[in-house]
Amino acid sequence: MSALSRQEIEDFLYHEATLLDEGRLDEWLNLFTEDATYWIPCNRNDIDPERELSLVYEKRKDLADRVFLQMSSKRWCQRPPSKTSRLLSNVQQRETAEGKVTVSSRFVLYELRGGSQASFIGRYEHHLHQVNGGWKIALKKVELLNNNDMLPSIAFLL
Amino acid sequence: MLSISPDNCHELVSEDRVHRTIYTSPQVFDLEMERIYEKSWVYVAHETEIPQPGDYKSTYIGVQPVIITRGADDGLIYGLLNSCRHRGATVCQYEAGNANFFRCNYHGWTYNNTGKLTGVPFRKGFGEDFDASKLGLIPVARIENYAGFIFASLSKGVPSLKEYLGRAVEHLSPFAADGPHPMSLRNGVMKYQYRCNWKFAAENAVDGYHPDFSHHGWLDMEAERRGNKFTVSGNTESSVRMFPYGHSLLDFTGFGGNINSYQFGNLLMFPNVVFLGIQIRVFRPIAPDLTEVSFYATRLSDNTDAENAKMLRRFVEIHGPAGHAIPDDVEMHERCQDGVKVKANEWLPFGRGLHNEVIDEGDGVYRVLDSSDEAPNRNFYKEWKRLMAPSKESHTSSPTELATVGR
Repeated sequence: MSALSRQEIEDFLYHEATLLDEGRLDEWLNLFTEDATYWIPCNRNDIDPERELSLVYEKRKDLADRVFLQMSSKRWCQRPPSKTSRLLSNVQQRETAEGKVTVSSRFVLYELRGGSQASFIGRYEHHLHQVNGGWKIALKKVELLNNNDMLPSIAFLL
Repeated sequence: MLSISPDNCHELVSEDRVHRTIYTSPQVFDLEMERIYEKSWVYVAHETEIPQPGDYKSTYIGVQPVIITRGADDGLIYGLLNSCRHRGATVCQYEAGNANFFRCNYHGWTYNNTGKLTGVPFRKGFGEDFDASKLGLIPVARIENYAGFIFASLSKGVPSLKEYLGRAVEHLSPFAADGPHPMSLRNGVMKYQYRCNWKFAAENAVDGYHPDFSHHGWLDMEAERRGNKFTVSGNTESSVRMFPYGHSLLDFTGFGGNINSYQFGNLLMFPNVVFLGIQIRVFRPIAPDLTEVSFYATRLSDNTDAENAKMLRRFVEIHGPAGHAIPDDVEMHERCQDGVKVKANEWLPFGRGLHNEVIDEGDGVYRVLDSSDEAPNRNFYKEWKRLMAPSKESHTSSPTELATVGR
């Protein structure tokens, strides 16, 4: 099976969103390929991350360090931790090659912390690769609608 | 403390402590905008942000919007207040770009990119004594470029920029256009909302006492996952260096570990900019409890693309709203902003290190061999107090004289 149905794609994305909203970050990290990239561009979505500022641009190894920090009891900006709830919609399969699928979706994410609520809105792009018969995330790109604007702390994973 | 007035606000700061209301009072905030932001040199741009004739950048001096432009015809750098002379609307809505003119979209008044009023629809209606030559965009009183760093002032009465920056620029001159590592700043900006007073952000940049505690989680991660161990708080191999006019350096030499390439330290230039080595952080006060902080990343022209990319990745990882370090600082600032509402906790001390030995380096520059000494903040508030004291002098920007700097 080298293609994914819409149902399978949606199930995958909803599962990923659930792991994040439930703070199951080790399981979340395991959804990524070994050389995966997690990327939140800054200012524009078509920047060259090797030359221009991103909010986050890191490979799996550094993403694992981020997850470690996220779960630290000394990460004060997450003590108490953010509570999040994210809704995904408009799921579209953009390109398909053998064992590779690019998926676009829209998200609305609410974060509640310290009695104040923030909202994050934008588009996810997932590059899913078939690995050992299953599917893993090779790239997760988070295009925030307001990535050129003044942002609050984003000390959780989008 | 009795009620705060323009005559006594400077008494909210003494040699070794500050009154909690300097962080909360709208009246103090308004006086700071008038007496500090209108009467100091304020960092506004780096020359590489506006390299070509017609290039512009919009920013703020305190709460006042300004446009920094490179003249389309003469290539000189101008600072123009971003406010139409008719109804006051901003005439430039973009953060950066290239334009030969700025048109107010309200009634169509048009200014060239050095601020001259060149177009007024239905001009006859204003009568015969209408003088467009007096209605250009109001220029800043002073604008100067030092080693590529452009500072502006709304007051004519400031000392020369060279005197103001003094020997603090020794740390930056290697990165000037004619230095060994010319820097370029056109790599995007991250803008971060700090729900706190601007001074908490400024203090923190040269606070060598906090890192091991505020950044406990991050430093643990670096040590445990990467074997990258550095000691910061109270490191006597390291030091703080103070300069006249409120500038100071938290010198990172001796911290050990890899914090960042070219990260010689955090250099705070009073009142609104910190050089994190060669990366730049600019504060914009918006309200007593709200500050916008902009992070600019730097490339060095003598670096390879790979070296610049590595430097950028490290900067992105540490700084900005999703960085490993800054969200914990912001968390502390926001807790401070909340906590200073406690009236009984009236005076907050800055006396740490007052008994340390001071090494006089001449020209009003001195050093203390203890990175956790609070001398940088005492130095910052000494300048704050000097500027906040009532003065009979009045410096205002004149709309008729245009301040510019050469290429």
